[in-house]
Amino acid sequence: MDPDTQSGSPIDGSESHKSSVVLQFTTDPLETAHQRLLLYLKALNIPVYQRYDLAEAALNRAAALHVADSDIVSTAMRCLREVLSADPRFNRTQDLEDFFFGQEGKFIVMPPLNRSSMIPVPLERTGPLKFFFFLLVRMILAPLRPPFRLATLCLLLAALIALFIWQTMR
Amino acid sequence: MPHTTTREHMHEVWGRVARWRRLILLVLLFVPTFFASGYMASVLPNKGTVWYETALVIVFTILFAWISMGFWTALVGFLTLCSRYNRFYIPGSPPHTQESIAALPKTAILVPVCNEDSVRVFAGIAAIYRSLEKTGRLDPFDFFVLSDTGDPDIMVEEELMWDRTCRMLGAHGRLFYRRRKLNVKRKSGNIADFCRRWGKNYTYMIVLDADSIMCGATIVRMVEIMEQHPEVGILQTAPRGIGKESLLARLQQFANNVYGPIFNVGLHFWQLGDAHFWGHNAILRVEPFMRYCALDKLPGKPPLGGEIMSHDFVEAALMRRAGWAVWLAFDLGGSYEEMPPTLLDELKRDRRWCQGNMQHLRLLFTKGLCPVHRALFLNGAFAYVSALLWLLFLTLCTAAAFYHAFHKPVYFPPDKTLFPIWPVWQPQWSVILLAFTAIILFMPKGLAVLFILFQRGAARLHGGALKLFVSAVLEIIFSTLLAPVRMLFHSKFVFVTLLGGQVGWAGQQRGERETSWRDAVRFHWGGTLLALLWGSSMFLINRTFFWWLTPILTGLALSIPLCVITSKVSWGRALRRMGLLLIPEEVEPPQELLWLQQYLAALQRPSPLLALPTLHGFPRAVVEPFVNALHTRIIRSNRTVAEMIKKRREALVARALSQGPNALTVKEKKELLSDPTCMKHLHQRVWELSDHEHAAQWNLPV
Repeated sequence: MDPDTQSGSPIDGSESHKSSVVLQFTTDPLETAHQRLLLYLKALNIPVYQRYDLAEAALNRAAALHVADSDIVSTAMRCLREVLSADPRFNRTQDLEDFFFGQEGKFIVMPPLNRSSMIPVPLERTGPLKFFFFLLVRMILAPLRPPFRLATLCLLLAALIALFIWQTMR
Repeated sequence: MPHTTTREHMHEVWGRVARWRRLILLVLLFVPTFFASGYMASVLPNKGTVWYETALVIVFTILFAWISMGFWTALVGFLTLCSRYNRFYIPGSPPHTQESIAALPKTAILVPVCNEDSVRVFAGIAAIYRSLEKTGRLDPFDFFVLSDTGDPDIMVEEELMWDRTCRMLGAHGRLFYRRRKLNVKRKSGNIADFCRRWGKNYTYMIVLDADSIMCGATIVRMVEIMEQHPEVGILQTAPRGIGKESLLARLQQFANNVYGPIFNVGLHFWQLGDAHFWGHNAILRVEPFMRYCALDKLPGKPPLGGEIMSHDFVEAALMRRAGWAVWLAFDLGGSYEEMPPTLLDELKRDRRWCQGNMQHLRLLFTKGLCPVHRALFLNGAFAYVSALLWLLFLTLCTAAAFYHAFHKPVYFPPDKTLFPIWPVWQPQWSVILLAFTAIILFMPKGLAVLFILFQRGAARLHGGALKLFVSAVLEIIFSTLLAPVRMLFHSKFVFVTLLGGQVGWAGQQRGERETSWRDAVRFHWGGTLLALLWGSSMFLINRTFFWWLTPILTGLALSIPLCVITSKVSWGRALRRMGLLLIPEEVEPPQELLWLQQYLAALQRPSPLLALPTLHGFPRAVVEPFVNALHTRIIRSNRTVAEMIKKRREALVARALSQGPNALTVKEKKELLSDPTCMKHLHQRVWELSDHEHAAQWNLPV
């Protein structure tokens, strides 16, 4: 900040002093603040013909509030937000969301929730030996009709038990 | 369970035929393989009696069975297409009347994305939306972009593109955007998250990839087919490769367009209602999907345990296990996807697929799965394991060549024999075997070209008969040269996966970015060195075998220039100008692809809503009032934050103001983006910066 602008006491905010106060900031900070305000208004998509009036209003308000050692850019930006929020053309809001989307009732990011569950199914993996054993049993039993199927199953079981006993006895 | 009786009846009808067809396939696979392996043994000097020759014959048998499966599939596909008779072709049934079409059920079109190029994603969605709108059947469809993006810059761009697309199409309330905070279970978790939140609202969902394009008419037809066939759980289309211009992408697009159809018809012939689900460009019945296809974790740690990476095959198997059919609508046009632009991108994708497919081996013996899906698991894993087996085959051949070079044959072993043991190698027999294998490998490609020539006007869409033939030869040359490179990498992937190495699941590189020589050398120097050492040693030791190896060694030795050349867009374009490697979509582009180009151009232009178009990503969300408001409106978090977190975020804001956005890590940026209050505060404070240095960090002019 220019040292010249930092000197002096808090400035009287009355309307009569406004123009003279503005004239005190003839160097960079004031210009920076002005440019920043115009850029911000452009970013808000405010029509060009309104930008200069709004920027001037904010700048004047900032000049009125400006105190020594404070930052004119920061004060001007705060003032601009106040000016915009007071202006009925801009929804009288300080909130950017309302500024941009306040009128857009159709702005829907996601539909309303309609929750339900989706529980992971157990995969029930088996080992290859067990798998092939049961596959073999199924293949043997598949062509048989129900009474024969049961009988064959019993015979198979009996044979297995006999084999087990024979192995153990040996 | 609805329609149980109808479903069981339908499954019985095609199930009986499917069993016979698969039995025939097994006979066709095993009988020629048996004879070929016997012939292979007879070609070898010791007739397969020594251990390395036995190993060679075993590996050859497996590989021969593997390649002959492709051959028979293509042959059956070719015959089916020529006969124009397909009893079980599911889209073949006549469409409903106009009245019933008007009453299509609610369908969600899901586009799961993860760190993708947001312009391309939303341009694709816009093209599909417009195509659907043109059919006059847009009403039952809602679009959901389900983002798992973790990059804060891409997050902001996605939000902006979503808003621009909605404004451009007037699609607010029909095109939705959701970003998950936690990337649980990757894509399958993302879709499951959608199902849990909104699945009840929809009868069907169509899952797309970030690079998918589908015609509106195709989407409507898919819903109609699902309505006509209540027994179908998943209907998969066969997407065609389009839209890329690098040489490799154009080679693959050509192969996909020319050879793809006969393979798809062949697959359909064997699989019928037990088909694949490829994870995108497919329609799914939501209710059974939610009930039966939620995926559990596999026991153990990654790479073979943990979250299931290639979820699509497993979901198809679970859907089928629950009694719902999975069909491949091979001839339903208007379904497109993009190919990886470079060899390195393709290999990176294969690395992930390899790990996913290897995981499937652990599901091979899961209770209740139908045999075809077990076979598909095995087939998927074998797509990569076969590379390792091929490498093993070549290693064994080399070992045998070394052995015979340095070891004199023993004609009279210690055991008493009447006749001397006379190792005889019959090179002419080997040539016959090689020719036979080459027929198995390349005949499907010939049949595919032949089928196009048979169809009136089809060759014109590939540049004419002569250019189609030249293109096919070119494709064969490049695929032969690239095969050993892929073999080496796939072998490495399988090996690394088995040893416990794992990969991340970041977004894919889909843009046309060429490979630099530096990158090519970094990735392929090992293969080149191997080829040079292998070739020179064989040239010195066994010159006959060296000539046999040259097709493999050439590809490996040239892998660096091949990698660079195939990534060149200029080469792809030059061939296109010459009328080579043309696909129908390049000769007569469908309207959807033209719209895609238009929307790409429109979305790449700076938005008129932005005052500082040079900004990008996170700084844009902080500085641009519109983007800041859009972001805070989208995240809409009313959560109260603990005091400690609040203080930490305040410190982050202070650091961002004093040191600029680059001082923040990705995690810190994400934390700030998740907090609307912080973002609003940061936005105000940044615009209040008057110091030149600090303001310049945020690209604010001073």
